[in-house]
Amino acid sequence: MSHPNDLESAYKAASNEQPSNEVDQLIIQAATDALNTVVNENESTEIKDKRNVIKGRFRFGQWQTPFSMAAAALFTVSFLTTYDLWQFNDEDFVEESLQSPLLESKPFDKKISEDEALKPAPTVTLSQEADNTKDQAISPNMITVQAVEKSIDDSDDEIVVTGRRIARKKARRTPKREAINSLNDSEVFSKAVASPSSETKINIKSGNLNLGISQRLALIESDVNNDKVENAKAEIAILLNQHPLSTFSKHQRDRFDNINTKIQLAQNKEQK
Amino acid sequence: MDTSLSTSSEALMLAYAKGSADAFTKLYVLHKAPLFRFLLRQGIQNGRTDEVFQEIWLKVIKARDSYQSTARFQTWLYSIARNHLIDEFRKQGKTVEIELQESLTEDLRSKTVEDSIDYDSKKQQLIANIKVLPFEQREAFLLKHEAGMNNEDIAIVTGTTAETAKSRVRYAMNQLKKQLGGS
Repeated sequence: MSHPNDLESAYKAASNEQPSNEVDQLIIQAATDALNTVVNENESTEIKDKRNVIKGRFRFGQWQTPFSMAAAALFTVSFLTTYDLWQFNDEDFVEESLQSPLLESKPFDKKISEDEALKPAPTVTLSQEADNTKDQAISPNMITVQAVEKSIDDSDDEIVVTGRRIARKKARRTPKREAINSLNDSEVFSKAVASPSSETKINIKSGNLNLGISQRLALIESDVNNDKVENAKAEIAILLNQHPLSTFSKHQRDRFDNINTKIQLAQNKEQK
Repeated sequence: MDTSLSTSSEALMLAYAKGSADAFTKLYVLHKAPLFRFLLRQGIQNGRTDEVFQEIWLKVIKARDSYQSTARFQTWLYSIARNHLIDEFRKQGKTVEIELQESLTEDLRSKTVEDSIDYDSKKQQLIANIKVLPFEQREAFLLKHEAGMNNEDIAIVTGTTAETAKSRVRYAMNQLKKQLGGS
C-alpha cells in the first residue's frame, strides 16, 4: 500500500458512500418548489399591479407613470391659476406692505417747527352731559368723550417759562458742542436764556457761544459796565452752560464773583 | 474532470435557472456523490453531514440566478460547499475539530498498534486517516480524488495558487502513506 496508485485505488474502492434517497428527494423537491415559487411570485406581482390600478395606486416606472405625472402637472397648474400665483412679484408685495396705513409715519427728516413742537397735544377729557334731555331717553347718565384742545397762551411770559425749563434741563448735564450750536440758531433758545422780562430783546450772534471763559467774562464785564444787566445775565447763562463753575480758574472765579456783585448792586439800584 | 460533464453541468445549471426542473435533477445526480463524500471525509460532527449537504444544495438553488456560464459549475459548487463548511466548523468551534482529530488519532493508534489484524479493513483505516489530516491538506486531497479536480481548479476553490494546491495534495498523500505504512 506504499505505492501511490495503490493508495488511490484503495481510496476509490472505499469511496462508495451516497446521500440517502430521502435527502435526494428533499433537495430535488426544494429545487422544484423554488421554481414554482418564482412563478407564483410573478403571478402575484401581476395581480398586485392590477389591484393597485383598481385602487388608484400607481407604481413608479410602470405604464401608469405618465398618467400620474400628467395629473400632478394639471393639479399644479390649476392651483397656480386659482390663486393667481403666476404674477406674484416680491417687490410689489413689499411695496404694498410698506404702504399699509399701519406703517405710515412721518419721515424722519421732516423739520417740525418749534411752535408745533411746543404745542401741547390734545387731551381727552370726560364730561358728563346730564342736562341733555334729548339723549336722556337712551342713556340718562351718558358720558361723552370730547377732544379738547389745550389753550395756548401766546404771551411772551408763557414762552419764557417754557424756555427756562429747557435751560435748566440743559444745565444739569454737560451739553455737547454740536447741540449748543444748533440751539444757538433757534429762537426758542434765545428767549429761554433771556430774563423773564418780556420787553427785553436779546439777539446773540451765532458764534458767540464758542467763546472761552475769559472772553465771555470780558463780554459780561463790558455789559455790566455799560448797564446792560440783562445782556450780562444772558451771557452768564450761556457761560455756565458751556463751562461749569468747577472748570473756572481761581482768577476767573474771582472775576465771576465780582461780576455777580456788580449785577446785584445794579439790580438793587433799579429796585430802589 | 470530464470536459463533457463540465460543459453539460454548466448547460444544465443555466437551464435550471431558466426554469427547467429536470435539468436540476440531472445536475444533482452528476454531482451528489462526490460532494457528499467530500463532506463526509471532513469530519463534521454529530452526523450533520446530511444537513450540511442539503444546506449547500439549497444555497445553489437560491443562487441560480446569479450563476454565470463563464464560471465552471464544479468550482462554483465546491466554493459554496467550502465556505459553508468553514462556517459549520466555526459554529462547532475550533476546539471541537481538534478534539475530534485527537480522538480519531487515538482510535487509529489503538487499532493499528494493538490489533491490526482485527481492524477489518485497510480501506476504513484510510478513510479514518483522511479525517485526521489538517483541514487544508484534507480538502485539497478530497477535491482531487473526490471531485476529480486538477490543481488549477483546487486553487480556485480554495483561493490559493496551483502550486500551493499541488503541495497540499502531496503533503496529504505523504501523511497517509506514513500512517498506513506504520500499520
